Amino acid sequence: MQTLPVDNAALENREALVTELRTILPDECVIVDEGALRVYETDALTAYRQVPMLVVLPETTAQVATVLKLCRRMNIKVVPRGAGTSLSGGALPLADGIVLGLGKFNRILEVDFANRCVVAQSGVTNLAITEAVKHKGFYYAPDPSSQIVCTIGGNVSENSGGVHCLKYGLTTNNVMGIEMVTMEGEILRLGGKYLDPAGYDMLGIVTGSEGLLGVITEVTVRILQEPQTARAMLLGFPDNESAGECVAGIISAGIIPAGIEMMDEFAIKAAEDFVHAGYPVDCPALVLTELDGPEGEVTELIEQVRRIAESCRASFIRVSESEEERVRIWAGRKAAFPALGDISPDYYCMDGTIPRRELSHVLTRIREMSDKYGLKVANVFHAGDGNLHPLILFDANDPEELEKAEEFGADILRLCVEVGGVLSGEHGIGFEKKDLMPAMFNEQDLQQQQRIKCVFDPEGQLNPGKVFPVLHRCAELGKLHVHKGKIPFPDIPRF
Amino acid sequence: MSNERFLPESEQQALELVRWAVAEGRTVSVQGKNTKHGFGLPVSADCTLSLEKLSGILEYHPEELVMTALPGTPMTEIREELTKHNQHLAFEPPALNRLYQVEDEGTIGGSFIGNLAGPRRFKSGSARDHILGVRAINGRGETWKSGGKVIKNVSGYDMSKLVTGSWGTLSVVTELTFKVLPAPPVTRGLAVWGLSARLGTALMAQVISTPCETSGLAYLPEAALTAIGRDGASFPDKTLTLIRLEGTELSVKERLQSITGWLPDGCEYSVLEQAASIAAWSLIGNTAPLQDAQRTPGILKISLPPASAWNLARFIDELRGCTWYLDAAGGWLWVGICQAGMTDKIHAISREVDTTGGATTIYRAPSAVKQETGIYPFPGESIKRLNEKIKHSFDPGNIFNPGRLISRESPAPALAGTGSV
Repeated sequence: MQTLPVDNAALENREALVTELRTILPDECVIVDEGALRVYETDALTAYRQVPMLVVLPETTAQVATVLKLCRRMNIKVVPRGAGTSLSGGALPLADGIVLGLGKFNRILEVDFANRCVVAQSGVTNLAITEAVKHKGFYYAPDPSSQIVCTIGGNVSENSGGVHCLKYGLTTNNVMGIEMVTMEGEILRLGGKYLDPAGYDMLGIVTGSEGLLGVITEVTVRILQEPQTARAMLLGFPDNESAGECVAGIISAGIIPAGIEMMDEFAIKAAEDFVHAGYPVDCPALVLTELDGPEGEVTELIEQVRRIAESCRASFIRVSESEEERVRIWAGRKAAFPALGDISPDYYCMDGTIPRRELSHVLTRIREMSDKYGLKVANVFHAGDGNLHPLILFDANDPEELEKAEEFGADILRLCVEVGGVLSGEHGIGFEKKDLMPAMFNEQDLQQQQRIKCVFDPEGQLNPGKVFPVLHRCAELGKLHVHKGKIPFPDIPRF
Repeated sequence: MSNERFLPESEQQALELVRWAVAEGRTVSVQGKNTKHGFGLPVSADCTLSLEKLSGILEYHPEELVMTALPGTPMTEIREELTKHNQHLAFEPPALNRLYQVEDEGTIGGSFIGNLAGPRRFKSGSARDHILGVRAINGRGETWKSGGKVIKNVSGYDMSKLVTGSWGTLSVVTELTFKVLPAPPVTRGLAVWGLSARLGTALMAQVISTPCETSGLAYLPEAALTAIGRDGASFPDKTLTLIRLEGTELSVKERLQSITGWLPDGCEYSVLEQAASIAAWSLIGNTAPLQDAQRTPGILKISLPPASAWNLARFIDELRGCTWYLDAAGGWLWVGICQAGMTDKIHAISREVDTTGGATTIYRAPSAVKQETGIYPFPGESIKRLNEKIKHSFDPGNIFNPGRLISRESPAPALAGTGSV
């Protein structure tokens, strides 16, 4: 994996930087001790570690702006960090850079039921937003599995998804406004408590930009009224093909479930052993789905789904009869990752998306790869939107296994692109997948993206070494190469 | 100087044309069927690149909820194909042809490049929420692509969103992939007649705060209804609060019953069945109440916090000569403005919107007015500067639709910086 050359000048200026930072921030907000810095050495992709030069924990947007201006002036790199739950190394520190933690931005600023939105500081957790509004029957829809700890600012940076995003959209479809600070120290407000901001969709480009364009300090999200009813169904199938056919059948029938997940045999067993959710362990493939909405509609749809499942050879059908049962059905799925962590020293979670029609082919190829690398793999799958989460089991203490797991993962992602899919459905490119970007984008595609980086951060100081495999200078990207001019192509029709 | 109109039949031909324009320093008016030319400042360019012949659906997988089409594909063709599979574009791109006084409804490229949306905006989003990927040609004469052909993707920056809503000023889009969704089997409208603006907006707020899952909430004062009436539709001379429910037959019926139970005492209402509901919502989405170019040559769309809608509507009433109606559950206030004092009225309204926290977009106005007010009044200085930089990053020579969104030629902001990104 390519890492950036260390900037020795930055390391030499460390003391001067600390002195300046302490004039901006309270002493306890500037972390310099080796032991305390080590807390920040990794995010949820623990295979990669790097102790940062310094960590700062500002408390106000004005402080963030001043810190960034200082870093700009002293030419110091900055890695923004929410709760550090990135699965792609998005918050992996730099030896010559500071980590700017947003943990102190932990207040909900406004709950506005009249305008159906919540304004929160960026370090507020995803779940805390729902907690703040649920007494009036509202919730915040995107629900990444890490929602207890992951921050809303991190969700915006990564454009996080969750099991409900097929019906309710990703973060980008639920965020209405942000306050962010650019590397220049300028505080920008994009959007707000209204639908269509003026001009180019800057909110759209910043969402999912993985902390490379600005430091997000405040977020306005829309909240939705909870559905009247939600019921979960467990559907067991004799093989992956039948399960896939059932998912396609449900969607072709015009039903968009609130969530629709698939698990393979290995994942089913691991989850069942771990939480005893009542999964049929003898089924080679399991579909979990949830239907929500007005009571009468849910009842009708459940019967329709039951018929579709039966026609796809379902060998097991269970419908939740109570809220408790619904939660238990989901508990198995949500525990799939920790369950595998329980039976293997480490696991490496992939995140490619494929056209669903390629599912059977892709699962077969993954099985072949599993044999080739000698590493087991469990498949958990957001079936509605084709987002695969193969979990490769390995032992990180064995350097050879780690390398094999990485190669295996890269092969899976290249396969996803090969069948018409993409590298990442919801975890982001980060540090982990930057070298795979050329599998999906050519040089011109990547340069066009990097020109957006130049608009916001021309010196490339914000979260460098993520997303892009090759580094370009903005001045070079800005040059206009004129192709040899000639009279318009004579064959182009005109009138 | 060439004023020719080119109709490339392939991306390669479009690319050659753009490369020629770059090399010769020519500006290009980028169009589909040119049905929304009335949006933005008038473009004066050396030649025209029409995407009309870059037409056709390339891929459609109903069970994957994904369609890929060439930009010049007529909206009618897209709709027909989707209907065969009981699917639709959930963001309900309106037909703005009456608003711009043209015959044709335009192309799929136009619906996305204008980031169109209809009454379902507050629930299902706008075009930007449904775009999945694009292929395009930038103002350097290079092709580039972004996104993918699957509905969940976070690989790289979401460049497709920047192009959506750019009105042809950033790149020439040569292919679009977008999300399609099942169309609801049943749709009904609940028309509540005669509520004051205060009570009408209060009813909308109440309905949306229940699990009734409405997909349309609009309020039309008498003047707006009269305007539709002149257009041939027959409505009573009263205000209209219109509520839309979609889903399965039983569920729509149940929800209709719940809502009628909350109506103020003695309030008059009627249920619009399938066809009537579709017709009414299409009039609202297509801005029918404001289309009369004689009475209201100016049209603004204001996005604002729904709870502020009533106050802003009162402010607009005091200006005289304006017609307005609320759509998107109060999140949009559409305003028609008479010719007399239009510039001043737009200034006054957009200043008020800026104070409230919202955004104004001019959809129709005489060029002289738009020159004065800009297309997006009060964008804020930093936003304006960033918009200019973004334009420059795609189109450094300012060759695509020059001046359409930004009224003056600004000095080109260089992509400065010596660092690596």
